[in-house]
Amino acid sequence: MNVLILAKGSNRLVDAIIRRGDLNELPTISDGWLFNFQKLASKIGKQSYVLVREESIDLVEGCMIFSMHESFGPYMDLLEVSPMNKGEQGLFKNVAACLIAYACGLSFEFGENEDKGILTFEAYSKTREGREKLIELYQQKYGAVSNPYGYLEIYPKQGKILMEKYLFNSNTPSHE
Amino acid sequence: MNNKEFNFDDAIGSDKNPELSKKQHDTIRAARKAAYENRPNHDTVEDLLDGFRFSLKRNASDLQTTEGKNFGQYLNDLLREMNIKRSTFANYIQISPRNINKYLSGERKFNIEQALMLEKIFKISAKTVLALQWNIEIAKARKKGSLDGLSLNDLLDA
Repeated sequence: MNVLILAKGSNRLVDAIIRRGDLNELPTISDGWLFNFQKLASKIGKQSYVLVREESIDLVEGCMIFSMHESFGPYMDLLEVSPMNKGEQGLFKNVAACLIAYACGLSFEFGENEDKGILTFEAYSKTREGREKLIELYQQKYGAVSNPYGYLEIYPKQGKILMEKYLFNSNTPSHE
Repeated sequence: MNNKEFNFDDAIGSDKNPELSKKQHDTIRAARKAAYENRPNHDTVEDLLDGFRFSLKRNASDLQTTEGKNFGQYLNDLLREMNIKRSTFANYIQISPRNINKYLSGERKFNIEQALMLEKIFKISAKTVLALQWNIEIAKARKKGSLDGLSLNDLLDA
């Protein structure tokens, strides 16, 4: 799926693609990433997706793993942007937002009945204060809602807003 | 994780599978069901359509994500989820009820006029319908490798 990310240096929108990731192209800790996506994606039921730029389709700018959880339904296990895109000095902006919006889309596609369009994920931090701060930020930026067990949920109405903003970026019904 | 070096959404989640107690599981399921029962019917239909549109867009734009499912099968799933009878749908878009199964299995392809009808009914792009119908065939044909020897240079050199 075609998306647009923002090059911070030039403030220019850049064409990118979100697609299924092959196991052997997924990032690992030895590549400088925080998580071993290869390891997690090799487990049963885990779907991996990568965001790449059109002009360098083999370079992973961001990676996300999605699965169906027995309690939560659509679940975003893990998302990380590449080391080059982290922090204020990162090269491209909106990589995480596009992948979250994509996961919202997957929650509509794969969620059934009462789970349709609800995306759950974890605000992970080693400290309680850190987690509370994260929850606040996810609520502000992505409209996520905290559930009683410390997980965050993006509900259908908010998911559609994110999809429109970061994936479709168009008001036309065709969504081309 | 050192928050000074990262933005808050640079890395989300963990590599541990969430494990909930039975009580927690039951509480979540009950809350979801209650919310679903109170959800207006119009919203439920829109959610189904959003899932349908997303899956079409996702698969039509990328051959790698075509997970062996053709457009007719996606449409068949949607009709089933919406409790729309195949025969009712067939009559509505002027296809013989005897032939509708062929369309919904992907054996027969919707033509341009029919794709435009689907665009109007389901608010999906006719182009997406047509592209998705052919994606699997294109991918299969590519895999055959029978085109490997073709090159413009052969014509230029002739």
